[in-house]
Amino acid sequence: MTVATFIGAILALLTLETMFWLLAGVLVGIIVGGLPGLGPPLGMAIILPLTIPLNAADAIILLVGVYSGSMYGGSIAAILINTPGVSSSAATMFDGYPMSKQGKAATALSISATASAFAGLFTIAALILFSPVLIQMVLAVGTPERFLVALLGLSMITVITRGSFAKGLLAGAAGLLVTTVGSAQPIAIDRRYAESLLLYDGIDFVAVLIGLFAIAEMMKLAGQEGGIAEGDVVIDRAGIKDGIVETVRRPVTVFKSGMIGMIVGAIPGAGATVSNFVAYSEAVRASPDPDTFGSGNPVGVVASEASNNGTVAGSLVPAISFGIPGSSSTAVLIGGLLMHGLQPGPSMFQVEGELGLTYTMLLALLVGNVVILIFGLSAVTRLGYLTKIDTDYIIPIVIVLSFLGTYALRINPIDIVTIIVFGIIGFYMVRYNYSVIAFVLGVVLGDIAESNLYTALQISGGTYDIFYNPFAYGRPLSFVLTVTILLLLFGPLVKGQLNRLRGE
Amino acid sequence: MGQDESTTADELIAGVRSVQRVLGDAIEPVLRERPTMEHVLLVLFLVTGAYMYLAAREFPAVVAEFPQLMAGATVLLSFLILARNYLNVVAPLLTAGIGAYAVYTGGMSFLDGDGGLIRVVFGIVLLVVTIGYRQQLVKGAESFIAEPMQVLGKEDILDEDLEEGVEKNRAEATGESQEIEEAEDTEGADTEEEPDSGAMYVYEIDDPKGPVVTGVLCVAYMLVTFAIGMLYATPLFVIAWALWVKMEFPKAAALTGVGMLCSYLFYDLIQSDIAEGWLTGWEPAPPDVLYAMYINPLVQPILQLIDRYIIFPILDLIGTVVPLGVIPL
Repeated sequence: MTVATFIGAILALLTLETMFWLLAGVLVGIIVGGLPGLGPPLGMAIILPLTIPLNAADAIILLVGVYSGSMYGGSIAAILINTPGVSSSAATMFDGYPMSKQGKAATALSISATASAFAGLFTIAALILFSPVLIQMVLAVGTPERFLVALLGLSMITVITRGSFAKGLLAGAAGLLVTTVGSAQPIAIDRRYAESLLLYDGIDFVAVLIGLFAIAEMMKLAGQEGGIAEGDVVIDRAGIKDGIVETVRRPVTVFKSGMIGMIVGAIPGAGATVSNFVAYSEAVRASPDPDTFGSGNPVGVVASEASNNGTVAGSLVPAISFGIPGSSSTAVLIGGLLMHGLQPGPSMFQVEGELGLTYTMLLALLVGNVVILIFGLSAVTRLGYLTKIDTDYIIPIVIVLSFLGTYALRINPIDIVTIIVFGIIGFYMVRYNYSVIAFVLGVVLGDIAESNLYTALQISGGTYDIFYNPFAYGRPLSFVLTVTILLLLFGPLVKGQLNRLRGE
Repeated sequence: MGQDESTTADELIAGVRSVQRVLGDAIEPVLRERPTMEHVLLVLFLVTGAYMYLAAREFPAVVAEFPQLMAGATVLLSFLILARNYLNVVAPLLTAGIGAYAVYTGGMSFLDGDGGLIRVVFGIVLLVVTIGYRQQLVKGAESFIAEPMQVLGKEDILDEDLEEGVEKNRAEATGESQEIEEAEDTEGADTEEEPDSGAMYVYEIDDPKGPVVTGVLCVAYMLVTFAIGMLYATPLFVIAWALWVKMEFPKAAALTGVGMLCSYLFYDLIQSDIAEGWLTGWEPAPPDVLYAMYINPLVQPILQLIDRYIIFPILDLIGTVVPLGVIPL
């Protein structure tokens, strides 16, 4: 039955219309990723409202195409002008830009395209191969466990927060608070906080995401100068072949970095930025010649670019399995699923549910990586144009698309207020080191956590035993999850105190 | 976005800054640090959380617990961060308060035969920690709340130059090197505006006016949208932006055209309701209707009059731009 669904997914993907949206998504992604200051979540957030007229499959394929394409596109600005198009390409700058200065821009861009595509291909292929096991795991998870998995996702705030721990928790709590506006799920009791009927459906989480990612980013960009290439970088076509050879000669680095990307990507909130640096550091550690990193070592570019495209596959696992975003981009993807009436969770893995769509999405990513390879290599000499577009033109158009897209979704004036308010809040949150991803985790997981908590308590007759007593309800997984959450939450504090006591 | 010469906006910003300075001087002794926009953000969280906590009391009990819990956490954490320079007093008081509350409510539930023992134990633990381990509690609260910079203090940072190299290596391995480098780059740029913010994040703001003007223009865009609908508010926003960045006329016209095209495509293909002003209920005629009117021979004499007495004089005022003209009768 699953095989039949898989074959059905292949046939669904091979229609002209679906392939067109995939191609469009990847190309738009490369452009968005290549424009300094923009990135996958912003590109996806702007595209999201434009998918309204599309059917669910095409809409999701367009979004994952943008996601995958922008991961590669981010390397273009990093290599050519030492400004990462996306933060997940930051480590690419370390060696990509020096290569560019040495006249090897084409080689670096070619390495980027090849490593991105290869890592993307095998991580998605691994995900497809692993999917039968994943399906069994997801279907074994019941309502209490889904609540705990959502809580586990929220606990990841303690892992992803750098600097002040309290700031990370505050961001998460504030994000959760946003989800309490509007009718409470799953029992639809009015919870508006004010008389206005405009708040009845709550604060639209797509509007929150657009505010946080698009408006806040544009405000930030408006305060920055640069990000645009001042001089022309020479991109010699002859270097393309060298780049392919450099990548093919290093299958271990591509594989290892891709797997690092995939594993780190599956951790909620960690995302490609973290995996990018972890893979780069590992490449430096494993190299017999670590001193050459930072001055144009091609291995640095291979590691960095393989890892960020590997992250795409990893971050999809918690997103489609439990509705937990592995990254900001998958938060927007979850928004796309919900907008088109698809609920992340077991139904995405049931043959009678949306398993066909899940397979189509994964296959689309597989094909998308081939598009990246072909486009990336054939357009190497022209990619420099992207870095020359003035931010004065980008900012108003992104803001206009954000406003239009958000308002057109529901024609609710609250949504426009939302994008402005959260745009300003997002701007200052980033400026003062409050984790935006923790806030997004809260916004995305609030409804999931609350509705599953409510249903679980209905099952248990109101007692919380169901979450931690492995004997009372025959749910050992609940107990394991509860212990993991407690370790995540209090582990750092206890460890800090123990270290302090030892020091004294 | 270079705006070198002094303009009205500059004067306005200078006025705002002087008000900021006066307010800052007044609030600084209370906070024991220079107030920044971070404090505004925290007060926003605090007030919103408190309002939502109180408002949630009106909800049925079954749906009130979750928002109250989240609002409570938001209020508590915002307050703790705001009071980060008073942690030696606030942390023990707050812990004792929470402990006492847990013992009281847990005890009442226990006496009613409704559980609550865990809450009582939790409360007692908190009270014991407050009384017996106050020093450790305060230190723990400091490391929980403050940024590493704030915990160390300026002298410590100066003394620990040697450790900086080690820290940089660690940061490189964990992905923080970019942030650190940017923070170092931007220290100078930001100190003038917000000198004592230990929590200052990391990216470069070359022109502080940029984000402010962008925010103001977004608010104006929203208000005009509510008045006349988004179809025509969009090109007006783009024109305002082009004026702010002093874009050359042909480029500004092209950008406005792109903006208008975007809004028209949304209007025509996705959602025609965007053309209506929510506050006024007014829906200006869309471009296709205007064009139909424009080419209507019956309207041409009126348009010629409008051109002669309104449009041409305005264009003359703006500059030597060739008017679009009307269809000759």
